[in-house]
Amino acid sequence: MAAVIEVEDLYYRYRDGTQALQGLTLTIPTGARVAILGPNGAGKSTFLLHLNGIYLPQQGKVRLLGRSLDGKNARWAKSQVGLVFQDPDDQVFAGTVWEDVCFGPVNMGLDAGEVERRAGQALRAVGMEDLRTKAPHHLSYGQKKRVAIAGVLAMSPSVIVLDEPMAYLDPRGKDNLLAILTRLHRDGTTVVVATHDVDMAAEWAEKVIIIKEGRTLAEGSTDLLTDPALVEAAELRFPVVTQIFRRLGNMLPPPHPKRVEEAAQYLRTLLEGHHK
Amino acid sequence: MCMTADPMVQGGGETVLHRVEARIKVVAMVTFVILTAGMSATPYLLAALGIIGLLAVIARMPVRLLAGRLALVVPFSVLMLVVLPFTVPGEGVALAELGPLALVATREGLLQAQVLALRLANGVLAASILTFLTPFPVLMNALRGLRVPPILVTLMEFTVRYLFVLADEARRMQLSRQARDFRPRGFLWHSWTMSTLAQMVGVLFIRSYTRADRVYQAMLARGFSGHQPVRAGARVKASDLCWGIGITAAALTLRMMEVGGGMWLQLLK
Ligand SMILES: Nc1ncnc2c1ncn2[C@@H]1O[C@H](COP(=O)(O)OP(=O)(O)O)[C@@H](O)[C@H]1O
Ligand SMILES: [Mg+2]
Repeated sequence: MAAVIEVEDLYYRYRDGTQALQGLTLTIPTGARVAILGPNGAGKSTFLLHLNGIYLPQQGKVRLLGRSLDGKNARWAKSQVGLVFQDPDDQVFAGTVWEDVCFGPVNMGLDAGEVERRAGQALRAVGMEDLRTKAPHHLSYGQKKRVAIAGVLAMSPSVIVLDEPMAYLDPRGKDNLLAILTRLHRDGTTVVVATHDVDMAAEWAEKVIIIKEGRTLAEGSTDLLTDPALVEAAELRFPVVTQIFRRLGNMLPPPHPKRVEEAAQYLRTLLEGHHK
Repeated sequence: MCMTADPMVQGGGETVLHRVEARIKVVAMVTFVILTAGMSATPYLLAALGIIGLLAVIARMPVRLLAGRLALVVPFSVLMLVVLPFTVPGEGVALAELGPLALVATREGLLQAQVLALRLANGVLAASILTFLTPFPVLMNALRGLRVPPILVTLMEFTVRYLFVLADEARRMQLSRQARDFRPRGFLWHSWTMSTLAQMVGVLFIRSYTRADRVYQAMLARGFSGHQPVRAGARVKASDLCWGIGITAAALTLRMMEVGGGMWLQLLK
């Protein structure tokens, strides 16, 4: 699979001297579901702001679709990579849902008919078309989150990036969001999520990238999430499903399942063997 | 743009007045306020108030809403009624003795207070009818359509949008202080109360500042380059113009009559 985003030895230092990224290197394959995992302060949010040219590399390279990002192609990057911020109140700023979703397409210079079409489609994709005339401050947190996603979808990016998408959502809100992400991925969008929610990463991702202190600790399949040394080093924890199997110690040899479905399958085979 | 009523350009309308094109409403009401704010004869000010009342009836504006808005100006009016009669020089009509202080209320002062209160009521009621008739986003779009500097309109929009977020934050902070048993125990003389409240204001300020930063980043992320376009207004119909001209003409007539009436009285002398 070709890479849509390649990051090479990226450094970023904030004005107050905090060295947020120090040599980050990673690859995001085209059309993949990627989870970027790391403890608070690992540099996830700082990194995401590099993906569509809000921050430019102070050192190192970010390549998007083969082009190295700089001041000149930052605008183009914004139409290719949609960024959904953690707090929807930061993102959904316009007076009504509809205006907010139109904001991106209008900035892209699309004509009015196309803006309407895209905004309508994006709102339908997140199930918010009936609330288009509402003011954002009258929406629930989950609804605001969906409007924020629609505002990015309306720009038809080839990559959509979400910062801590599950934070503060209720269980139904989380299910809704996962369904939206799954649909997007099925329609061909590369979906990147930054999170410290290992259960979500285990259930949903195809590829995980674990970072800490602005560096990549490991990238690979979700099997990384059950590697004790790595989980310890990254200050994460095992997925709940894995924790259960680890408790059972030597009775059940590794590799231990990490997703609910995997675990059910594991137990089914085990029980069937037992009954025979 | 689709030809069906765009909710951002034209608010839904229950009455004829609701359906008048937004820019016309803005111009008519602003002109009305400017003209009536220049008047200084009580009967004409009362007549202007009457016109506003009539508009409120046509717009089927709930009396409670109207009264609520009027209540907003009461403190100012009371203040003027208390201060002006005693500070404007003129013919004394009443005496107030406050210990060693003797204050004289003058006829001119009373009159001036009355005129100011009426003007204020006129302005506030006209503005509340306008906002009752026009949903906020439609109003802002109309202002853009009228070439009000975009930065001003954007500023107003942001104020309304983030006032709620800020109020929410303040409320949460207040709750968490209460949860740790903080009670205001006095005013300026109570330093613990004051330093706590001052810190809260400081934190709120910093939070708004960092939030502004994030909002701006999020806008940049969606390709913001500094200006927001105007959505095309609805087509202005003849009936819209009639309403606009009608309201403006009513105010203009009152103004002319006031000026003319003054001259007429002079002639009689
Ligand atoms: N605007 C900023 N100014 C200074 N330091 C910052 C700023 N934003 C983040 N940092 C610091 O950069 C580091 C990485 O932060 P961040 O990218 O937000 O991590 P994460 O999203 O993984 O929690 C942290 O040490 C954080 O304190
Ligand atoms: Mg973060």
